[in-house]
Amino acid sequence: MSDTTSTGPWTGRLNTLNGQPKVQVSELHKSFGDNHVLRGIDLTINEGEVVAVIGPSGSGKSTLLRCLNKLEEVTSGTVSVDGEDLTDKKVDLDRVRQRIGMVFQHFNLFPHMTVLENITLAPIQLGKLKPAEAKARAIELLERVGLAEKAEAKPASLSGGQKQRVAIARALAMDPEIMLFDEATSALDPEMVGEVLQVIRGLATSGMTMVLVTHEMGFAREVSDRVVFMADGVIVEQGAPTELFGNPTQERTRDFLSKVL
Amino acid sequence: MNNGTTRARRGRRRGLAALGSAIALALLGGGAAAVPALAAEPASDVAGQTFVIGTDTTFAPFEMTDTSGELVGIDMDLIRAVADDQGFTVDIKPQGFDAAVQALQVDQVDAVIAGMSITDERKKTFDFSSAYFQSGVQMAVSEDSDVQSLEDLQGQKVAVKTGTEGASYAQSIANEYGFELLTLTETTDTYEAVKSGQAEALVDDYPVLGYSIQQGNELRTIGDRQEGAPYGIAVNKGQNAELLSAINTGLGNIAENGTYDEILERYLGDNAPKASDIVAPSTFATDAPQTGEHFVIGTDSTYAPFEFTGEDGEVVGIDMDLLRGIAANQGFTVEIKRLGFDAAVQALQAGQVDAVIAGMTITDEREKVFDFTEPYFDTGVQLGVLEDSDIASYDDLEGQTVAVKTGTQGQTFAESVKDEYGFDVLVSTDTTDMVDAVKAGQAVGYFEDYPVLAYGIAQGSGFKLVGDKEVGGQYGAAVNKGENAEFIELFNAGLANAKASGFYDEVVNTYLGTGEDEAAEASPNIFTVISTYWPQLLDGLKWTVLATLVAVVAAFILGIAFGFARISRLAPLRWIATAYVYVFRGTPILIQAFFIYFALPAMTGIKFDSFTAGALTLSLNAGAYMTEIVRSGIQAVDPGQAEASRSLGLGYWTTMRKVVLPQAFKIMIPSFVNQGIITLKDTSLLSVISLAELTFVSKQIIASTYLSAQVLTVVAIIYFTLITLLTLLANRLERKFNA
Ligand SMILES: Nc1ncnc2c1ncn2[C@@H]1O[C@H](COP(=O)(O)OP(=O)(O)OP(=O)(O)O)[C@@H](O)[C@H]1O
Ligand SMILES: [Mg+2]
Repeated sequence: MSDTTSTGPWTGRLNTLNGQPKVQVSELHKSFGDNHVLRGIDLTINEGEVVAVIGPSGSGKSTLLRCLNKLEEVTSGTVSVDGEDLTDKKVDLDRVRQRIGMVFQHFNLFPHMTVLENITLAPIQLGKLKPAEAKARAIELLERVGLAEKAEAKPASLSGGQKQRVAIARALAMDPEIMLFDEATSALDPEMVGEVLQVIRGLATSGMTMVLVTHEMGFAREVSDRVVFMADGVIVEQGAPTELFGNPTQERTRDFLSKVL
Repeated sequence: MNNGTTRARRGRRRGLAALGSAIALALLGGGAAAVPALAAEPASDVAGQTFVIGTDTTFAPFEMTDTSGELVGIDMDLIRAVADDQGFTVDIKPQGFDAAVQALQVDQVDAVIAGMSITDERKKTFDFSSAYFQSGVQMAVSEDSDVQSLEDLQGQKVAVKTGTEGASYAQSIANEYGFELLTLTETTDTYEAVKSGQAEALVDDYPVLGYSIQQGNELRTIGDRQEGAPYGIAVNKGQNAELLSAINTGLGNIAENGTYDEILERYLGDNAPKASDIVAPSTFATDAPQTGEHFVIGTDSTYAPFEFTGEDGEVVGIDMDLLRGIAANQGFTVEIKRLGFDAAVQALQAGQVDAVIAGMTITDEREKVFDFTEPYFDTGVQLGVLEDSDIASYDDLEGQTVAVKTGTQGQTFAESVKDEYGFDVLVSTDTTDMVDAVKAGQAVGYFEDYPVLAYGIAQGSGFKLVGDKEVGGQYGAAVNKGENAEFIELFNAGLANAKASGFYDEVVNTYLGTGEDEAAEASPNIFTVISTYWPQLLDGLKWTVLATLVAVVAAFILGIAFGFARISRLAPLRWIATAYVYVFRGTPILIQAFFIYFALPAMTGIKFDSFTAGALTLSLNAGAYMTEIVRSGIQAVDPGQAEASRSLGLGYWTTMRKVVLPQAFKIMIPSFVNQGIITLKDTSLLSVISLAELTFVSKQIIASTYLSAQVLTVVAIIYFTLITLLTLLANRLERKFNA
């Protein structure tokens, strides 16, 4: 890895330093055809930091998140993880992605596999764990999300909240250093939101670097170290939750918050 | 069915559609009289009348449309010339061969002239004019071919159209000249085969060949013309005798005044026969100049109706009348010695007689010792029952007793089918006992050589024929091997004249009367068809299944490979895959088969046998559809699935293999099954490149039996069963997959 990027020599050191930049986005632009969705994003996420991204629908939150693990091709600008520039063609994206877990709004569990298989697939396939180890690890994770008894169930038999908790366990199975959540609770019935937030909250307190795109303002305020407000493809304002929610400096932020709070 | 039988039973075949009408003809049956030879009646009978004449739309060079849109051709020019000569007018309706024949049967037209072979089958329903054209088949090769004679065909392939006289002919000499047959379903394909080098030679009706060479087709005829059935003009049986006789007179007149020859030369150029050769023999000249040849002929003492003592004490019978007629026709003399069969044969070997004609079956055994003439009679065993009997088919023999004479072919045959039809066999030691047993009610019928039966019936024996004539031997006249070749030559030439002129039919009808014609074609049911043709059908089925299996497996592999290429990030791969799909989905599979079988070898020199070409065609065709099934199946999987997998760090192929494809296959299975079934059914199209699959086999069986309804029913049931089994299997697999 270190020999594939110019910032290589720094990597090791940055990794070990808490509070140092883990993800660095600069001058990021993204267009879908004529639709210029991200219009110059500069964002740094430090190790162990929990960043909540909020903003009106269509402002580009999901797109930004998906650029962080290059599920989306970027149009221009750079996205660096641990100093490795993901826009560099030479970078092995699969290796980088192993360190970045992602949780989707619609869970995206593999319907033809059991819960256990969903979770053990990546560690086994990527040679990270032996099957027996992977299974033990999966059970451990399922216990952590409170679903140990569902190991042999098929996703179709689970409730939305259970599915999302399995999805989180699946992402955690690769021991990621960063977790990305894209509206992890917005497809859930209200009574199931709590159980999922509980799991995410647990992760946040464990010191995981996290980026949460969310509509749950209360939750964002509670768990995040920093809140980023996006509108029309740019970051309008960012800051500590108390500041941003309590004392927004931008008119558009105030406007948005007045509608959602 | 052997080819000899095929040839004997029918003339030029016009595809499957012709079978329907042929069966109709066979069922209508009845009547007897042979075609009258050139009658010398005055033309005035029909002068001034107008007759509606049905004909084919296109059968070059007999009927076709010229550049000005007018119907021309040998038939057209002849019938107009005859009409002119006889002072009647014709209103020609080109309807297509089958339609014209049907129109004649329902009196919508008065006569049909359409390159129509005079066959026994047709003579049951129609009266024919004297033969106006002697068709026949011949071989042809590419103009620039090294092949100069039939001998040069050793190890080569000869293209034939299935079910034609040409095919029978080629089959009959294939071993002798060491070539292989390439059986195709369309005439044009045989020409293509020669052009593309799939075959070295082809066989076709010589007028068609002659005409196409005249038209600039770069072919060259080789070998001799094989005389086939003569063409005649047909009217409904017993009707329009005046028209027929006017036509015959007219034909004679235009042969004399040269019009006939002009017409033939117009279309056949150098290959044109002489009108006098066609029309003259129909009078069966018996005043040929003496050649001075004299032969001593041994025969049986009594073997009615072939040789027996006539009312005036002279030996008569089919053999005798034929022999005498031929002798007169060819200008030789005969002295007949009635020695008894065995004695006659011994006398021949001892050189006491020059030849033997005695209802003698041509066998391999005998051919080691004797040379035979062309067969002059097809014999066989048939069942005779009393006229008022209820027995209408072998099926009615269940629980009954049938008489046979010991040591005869009749006994052999009866024993071979008695279990199948559930009857008992009563063995008699001589013919009269056997007949008496039936008359006394101890047996319901007896198996006997059919000419003997038919002769008896013509003599008023009070019996009738039931069931088919079971394939038996052919009679020929014999000489000692390597001796008396002149006799063979003269006899054969005379026999050909006798057949062409109707003299032969006259002779046979004299003795067999209506017997032969009334050989009622009891329609076998599908079970007899199955039991008779099962081995052939099974063989066809084998190729069908094999071609399907190969194609389905190959198409699956192609479908996956090209399916991935279709969604590849690499543009060139996408283009190639898209082009593949468009080409094979955008052209008919028949064209693809032809292309791979005929055009590819011509362009590249790579040759495939018909199975390889057929399986390749099916594979590529089905592969194109599979490609689209695979592509759309993959694309139907929620993209979030692949994203989830990729976000975990799994690579593209692992994602495909573990996440996308298992879900995609589930979506694809019904389409796979569907394509498999389509492919199975598409194998039937491969009969056009002579792959001997089920449909091809069924066409062959129909061609030789006319049992289209029965055979097609059986074949449909086989396909249906196969596809149902396949579907059940697929459903099972699908359930397993979904579990
Ligand atoms: N794959 C795509 N192709 C084309 N346009 C896209 C695609 N994905 C997103 N967009 C467009 O990009 C813009 C931003 O979408 P994005 O999903 O990032 O917004 P969002 O802020 O996440 O909104 P929401 O809160 O509704 O999820 C929208 O106009 C959307 O239509
Ligand atoms: Mg979104």
